[in-house]
Amino acid sequence: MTFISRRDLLKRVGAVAAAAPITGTLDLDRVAGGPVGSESTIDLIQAGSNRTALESFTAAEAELMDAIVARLIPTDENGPGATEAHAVRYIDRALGGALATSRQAYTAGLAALDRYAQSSRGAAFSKLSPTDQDSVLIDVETGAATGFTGSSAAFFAMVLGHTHQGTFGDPYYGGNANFIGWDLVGYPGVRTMVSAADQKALEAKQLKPNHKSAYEYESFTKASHDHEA
Amino acid sequence: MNVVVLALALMTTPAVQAAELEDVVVTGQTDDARKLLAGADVNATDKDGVTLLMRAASAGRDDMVALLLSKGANVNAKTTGGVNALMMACVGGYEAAAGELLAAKADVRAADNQGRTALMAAASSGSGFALVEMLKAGADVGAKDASGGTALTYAAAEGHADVAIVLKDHGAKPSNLELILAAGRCNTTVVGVFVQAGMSVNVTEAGTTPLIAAAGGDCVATVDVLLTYGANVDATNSDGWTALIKATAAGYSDVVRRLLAKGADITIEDSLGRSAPMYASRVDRQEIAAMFKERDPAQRTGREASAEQKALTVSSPTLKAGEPIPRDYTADGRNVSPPLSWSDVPAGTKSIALVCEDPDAGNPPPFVHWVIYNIPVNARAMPENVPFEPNAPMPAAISGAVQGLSGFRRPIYRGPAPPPGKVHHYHFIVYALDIGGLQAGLTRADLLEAIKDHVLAQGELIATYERKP
Repeated sequence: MTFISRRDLLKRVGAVAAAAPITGTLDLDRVAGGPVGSESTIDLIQAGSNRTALESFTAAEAELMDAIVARLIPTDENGPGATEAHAVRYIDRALGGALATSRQAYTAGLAALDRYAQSSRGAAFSKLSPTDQDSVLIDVETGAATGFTGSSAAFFAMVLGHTHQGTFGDPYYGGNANFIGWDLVGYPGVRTMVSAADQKALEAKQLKPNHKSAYEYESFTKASHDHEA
Repeated sequence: MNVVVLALALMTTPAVQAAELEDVVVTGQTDDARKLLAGADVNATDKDGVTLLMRAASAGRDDMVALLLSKGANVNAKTTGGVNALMMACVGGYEAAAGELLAAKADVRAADNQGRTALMAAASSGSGFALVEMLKAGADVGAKDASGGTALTYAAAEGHADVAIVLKDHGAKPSNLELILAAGRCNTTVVGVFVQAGMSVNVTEAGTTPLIAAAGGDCVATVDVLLTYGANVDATNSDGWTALIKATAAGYSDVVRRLLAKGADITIEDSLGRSAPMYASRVDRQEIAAMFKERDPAQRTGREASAEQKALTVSSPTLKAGEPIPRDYTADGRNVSPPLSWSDVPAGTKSIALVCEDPDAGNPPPFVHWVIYNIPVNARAMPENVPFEPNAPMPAAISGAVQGLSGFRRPIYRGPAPPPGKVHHYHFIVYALDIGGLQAGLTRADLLEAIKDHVLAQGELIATYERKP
């Protein structure tokens, strides 16, 4: 199996982005033209498209966020995690809309977290081993980390909350890609009608999940963050 | 003891008949009552058996009581709860009303369904006159209520010294419990009455002594009286607490001062191995801590003293006693647990436990950084970096050990991360226990409770850490 983890892909994309003489957007042709197989190329384009879609985060912030959410809801034996759910894309979009008031807290908190990782563990957060990353995050969670405005625990709680939203919220908002979050917790999907047969299948854990956003039903009104932006 | 509550509850029962009359005997004029009574049943009751006489008695309307009695009211009628008019008058301290009832030959030996008598009611409200009259009329001074309390118990609990003297003079024998009750409620005069009646101040009841009860109630004058009468200043209660520990733990500095002046031993340890100075280590106990220091500047804490008695030597290849902890073991570094070793483990030890705590932080102190126990008895050292991942196996050297909850609410080691501005002291305390197999998930407090009376030896290594502002 020619397995390239999404994490590695993201890193390569990041490296290309850093080398490219452009800011904010990524030259997709350049990336897609790289020496990778067709299937991986699609992955790469998708991964790259996350970057081109950045609305709020800088590329460096997005990379740091990718590393953080990968530890908060990791990809492990339980299945894909916050990375595959594109939780960071959700947060990035929301910071330009409904979560706009948190933008400054992210700028300051992410900078503080990376400084703390550097001073305490000797490397930028995304360069640390998963164990050291977890250790750093525990210190941030418990308020033991230094360099934050106020307690680092408040920053941690905010990021964790938004990561949950981005992983388990309705895909309409940019996260929970491919319904990964819902599948992870066994949520059978938004259903306007549940038949007796559905109920039986659910109890037998044989109900096929309904991969539909709530907004694919006419009865749900789309909440638009454009008004708040 | 709750006669008054019961009476009030009955008074609020909606009147089912003669509502106007019920109202008049409490708040009205005797002339109006006399008119209404003409043709009415003077002994009518509500569904709880409450009579007009009782209503008048519990309202302290001696004029109405006299009127009702003259109209043929039954002086000894009882409610369904067994309460009579005399008890109601005595609970309220209405001595004139009680006098009218007694003049009408009210039964002074009657008891309600809880065994409570009018004498107890009078003792509780401090109604000395009514009490004396009842005693003259043959009231039983030794009668006991359902909880075993006598009239003297009620007087002691409420602090009515004069009543207590009268009861004592009529043959009431104060019990140890009554003395402790009075002491714990700062009823200094009652304590004095009992002691002058020949009671010993060094009695133990319900696991405590009068002095410890008074110390725990911040009863400075009572403590003085007990000490004057020869109370043993170092007596302990069922938790192994002395009066000094009790007052220190509660922060009662005036009581502590009295006890120290009487030579209280500040080295006595309670059943958790803690002495009074250790309870004074809280930030808001500085005044008391200063008193202990002044008393004996060389005074060591109980923990240090006991560690010396039952020496367990704790050391580390990287931590040095009294010196700053290397960054790698703090939140300013890798935040991994430090390597530690211990020796002189006594025979009979079944397992080892280790706690790291900072008495300079926490609310209340100490702030706990690490709790690890069920360490195998043959282990003599703890390697560096005990894993924090939930599923990671323990290092072979301490196989089987489990980690308890720290102040960070996680079952792992998290090193120093103190607020900047002062040096904090980190106590790595190792316990040799005669038990093992303790359940997982214990906090430090849970652990100390579980190992109470099972510590064969203990020792500690104290290192420091400070964050610069």
